[in-house]
Amino acid sequence: MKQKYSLAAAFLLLLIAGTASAHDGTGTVGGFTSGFMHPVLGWDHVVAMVAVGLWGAFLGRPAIWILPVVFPLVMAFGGALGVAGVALPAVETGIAVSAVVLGIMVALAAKPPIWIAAVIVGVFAIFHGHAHGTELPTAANPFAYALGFVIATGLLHICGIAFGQLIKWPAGRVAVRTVGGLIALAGVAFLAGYA
Amino acid sequence: MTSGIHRALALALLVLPASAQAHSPIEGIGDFYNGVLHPLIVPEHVLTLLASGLLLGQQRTSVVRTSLWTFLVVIVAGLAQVALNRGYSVEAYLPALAAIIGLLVTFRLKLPGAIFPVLLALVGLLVSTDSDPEGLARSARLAFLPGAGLGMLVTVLYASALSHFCMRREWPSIGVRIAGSWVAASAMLVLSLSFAGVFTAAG
Repeated sequence: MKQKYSLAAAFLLLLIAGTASAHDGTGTVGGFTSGFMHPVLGWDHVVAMVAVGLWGAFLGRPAIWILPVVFPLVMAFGGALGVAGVALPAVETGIAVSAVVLGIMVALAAKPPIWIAAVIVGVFAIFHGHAHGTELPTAANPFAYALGFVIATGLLHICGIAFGQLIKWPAGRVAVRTVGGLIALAGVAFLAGYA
Repeated sequence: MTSGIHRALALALLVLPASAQAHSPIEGIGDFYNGVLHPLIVPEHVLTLLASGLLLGQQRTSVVRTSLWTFLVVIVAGLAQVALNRGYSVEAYLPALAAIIGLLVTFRLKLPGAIFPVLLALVGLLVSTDSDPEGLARSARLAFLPGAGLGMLVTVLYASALSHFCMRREWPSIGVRIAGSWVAASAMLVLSLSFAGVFTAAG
């Protein structure tokens, strides 16, 4: 009972907390924030990155950790192409297709050889990286911006991996595959221009 | 009864928050404190230092010991040089170094132990040389620079301790490698920006 009162009091105190305006939104902080929000505010990025994490959970070891380790590096290559102004055809279409393909892989619980999975994910990583990279030259602080979107992408992977751990249970497996199907449908919606 | 009093005291303290002053207004300590914060607020510095610490934490104790002493000596020398003369902007080289170190953390290649003190010496040299507090009076510089050295050392120490702790466990050790890939990816993107400027100027 005492613990409940303590928790309730702590919760109430959290509600009345004021803002801590330690920094303004420009420079390093602004660059990191805008970079971090870039993948998060794009649903096409979010669903595809979560799907990478979910697929990694199905593929098991070592894919479950190779994908979040290698993906940022391949994405950086795509980003470098964007920074250098190298045109990549149909970038937004490629990103939407990534949601469709990765969603289908999760929905079908596909377990191809790891090198095939790595190639598929790598190709799509280039598209995602290119989309982020084209924004880099105009960022307030490029290093902070790059770090922001790399970390946001990695955290989305980790969310997918964490949710993917549900496959240990039969009902969880159904739930994860259902989410994969929804991600694929979202990708179709992006392709059709409905989202 | 004692734990109840502790809880009551904690709650009483929580209802008395004061405004959080982000920077110290005290003369003298302000410059030193600014120095301590400097390597933490410059993205190129903090990432290179963190990656260096993560890399050290993956190595055996003798390598860590040698590398840290080398790092300490080099940053003292580098900051002394800045105090006596001036610093140099080496921002262009830091992303390259951060990328290399990030990749080493990611792939955990088996390298000769002698490489790590050399890497740490390079990190110490570049970061200290790039820590010139322009526009400060001499007395303020002499307070700022030791603070910067302390900030660099503490950052590397904490990162190496965290990395060493994580290396004993499977998933945390993978987390360290993921962090390394993030550093490498960010640094490579910034490098591409530098080269893109070169290609644009040439073209």
